[in-house]
Amino acid sequence: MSSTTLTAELAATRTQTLRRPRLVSAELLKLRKRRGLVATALALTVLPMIIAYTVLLVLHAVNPGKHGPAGGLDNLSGSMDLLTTLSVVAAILIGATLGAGDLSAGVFRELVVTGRSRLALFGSRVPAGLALLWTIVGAGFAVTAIGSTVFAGSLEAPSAGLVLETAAWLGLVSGLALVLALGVSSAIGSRGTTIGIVLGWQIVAVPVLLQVKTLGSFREALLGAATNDLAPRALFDGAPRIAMSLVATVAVIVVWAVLPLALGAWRTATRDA
Amino acid sequence: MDTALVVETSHLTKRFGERVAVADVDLRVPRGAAFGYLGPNGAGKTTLIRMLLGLTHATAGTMRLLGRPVPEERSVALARVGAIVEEPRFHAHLTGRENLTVIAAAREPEAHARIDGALARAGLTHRADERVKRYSLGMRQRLGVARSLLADPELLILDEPTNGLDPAGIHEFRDMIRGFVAEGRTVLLSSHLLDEVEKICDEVAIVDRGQVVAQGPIADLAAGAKQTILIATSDEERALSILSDHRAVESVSTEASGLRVTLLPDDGAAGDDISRRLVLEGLGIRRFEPARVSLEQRFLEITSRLEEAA
Repeated sequence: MSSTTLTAELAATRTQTLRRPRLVSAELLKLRKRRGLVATALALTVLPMIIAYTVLLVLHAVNPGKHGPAGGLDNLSGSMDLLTTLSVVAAILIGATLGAGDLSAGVFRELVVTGRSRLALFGSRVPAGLALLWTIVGAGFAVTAIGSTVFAGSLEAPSAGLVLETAAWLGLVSGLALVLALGVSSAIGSRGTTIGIVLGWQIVAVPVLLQVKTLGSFREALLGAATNDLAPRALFDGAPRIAMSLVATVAVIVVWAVLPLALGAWRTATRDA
Repeated sequence: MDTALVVETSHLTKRFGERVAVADVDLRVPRGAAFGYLGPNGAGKTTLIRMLLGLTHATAGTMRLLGRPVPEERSVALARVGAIVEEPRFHAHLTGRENLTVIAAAREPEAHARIDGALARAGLTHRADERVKRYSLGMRQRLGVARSLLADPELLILDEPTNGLDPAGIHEFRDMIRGFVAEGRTVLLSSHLLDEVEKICDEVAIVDRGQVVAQGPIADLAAGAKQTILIATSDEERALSILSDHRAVESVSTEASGLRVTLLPDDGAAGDDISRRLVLEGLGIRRFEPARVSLEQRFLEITSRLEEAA
């Protein structure tokens, strides 16, 4: 390889590195301008938390003897049950839109014609999706965390450590749901079908399968088993858990994150545009 | 590497199962020209363009775009290629400007700075911040042109670009394409509209059933057509009888303004002989002129020959 060629390749690599954030910004632009999607995601995450804490506050104000303070650990635990499920739903909606948006609009072809690597186009979807998802889910969690702390009254308030642990766990669960939906959606090219399949699997099938004891250790392969295993004990103490080693938990999570992405990337790279 | 050619294909073939969409095509598009890729619907024009742009794989053969082999150096070659393939598509929920921003992000960093200029060139500056779902088909075509200009293209590939445009839009589009050529860009225009190609392009390749059946400057192709003479005389019936028996005449048809006489090829003196015969027979000649051979006529000749052969 001549020095000229090498210099050109290094320059090209630098350019690629510089380009990546622009592609992510473009993906984020496409997502955040979908008003219906953003409104739905906010309605699933922030709105229920605001309603829940408003109701708890009103009940406590009207009859403090019967209804305890709106905040505290117990209420955080209850609201996190709801927020986790709804965040997964929001993640699936965003992931499915990310994966099939360019295809359904016919713009994927226009992007390929630029000569940009298809893998780079696919890769930019992940950070863009996570950025939007975690902003919205983070807002919902902020309402919950602030509500459970500020309105704890005589009850035990969650510690800063627990709040951070719960935030990280919620980010992991919702992020994995997004990655799963993004991979499936990029592979099959249909937003609606992806939403049906992934919602059915994550919200209905996985919780049921986790309860089927005859499946034994096969249940450890389910993403839900791994994420439940990492859930903050102080909040999800009563949730069904399958005893797993940390290595097995991490391995299951990595596989469930990598496989859908690999599938989506492969299909994006090979499909006729 | 022949840089005088912006597109060069060799034995390019695309099969969909048993069906051959593009058959053994050797195409050479010279730099700095408006080149028409002309053929009826279903002739394989779009499939060839899709292969050049890396939207679908070739079954066999080789391609070079701007002197670079594709798909091996596809990304480098496509960096200087702008294209509209079939109907240009956009994110309807984004504005025209935002749609260009999305595409510019996939191109070199300088592409972003070209957005305003491209919108102005396409005449969309005043509507650039409206959502594309409110755009008419003509405006979408213009936005497609603006998008293809983000590459500062050496080569523009336009697949049926005037589809859906009104006559004024078509006229404007034609001027725009000639403007691109005047700037030194090459335009590869695929179309089934012969008249359109003849008005815009300098060179043409005629494709039929996946095969390039003729290729070259329009004037040269048209010159290869059979010679036709338009004749009007004082007695059309007698003239018809005389011409029908002439050894150099292939066919005679009657038109409102006289007779259209198609001559057999390879007889340069036939016209002189025919006029002499008509005069000797005592006919007054009111009109005797060679018909302008259009690309359409040549195209029909070539494709009808192929149909007969098939």
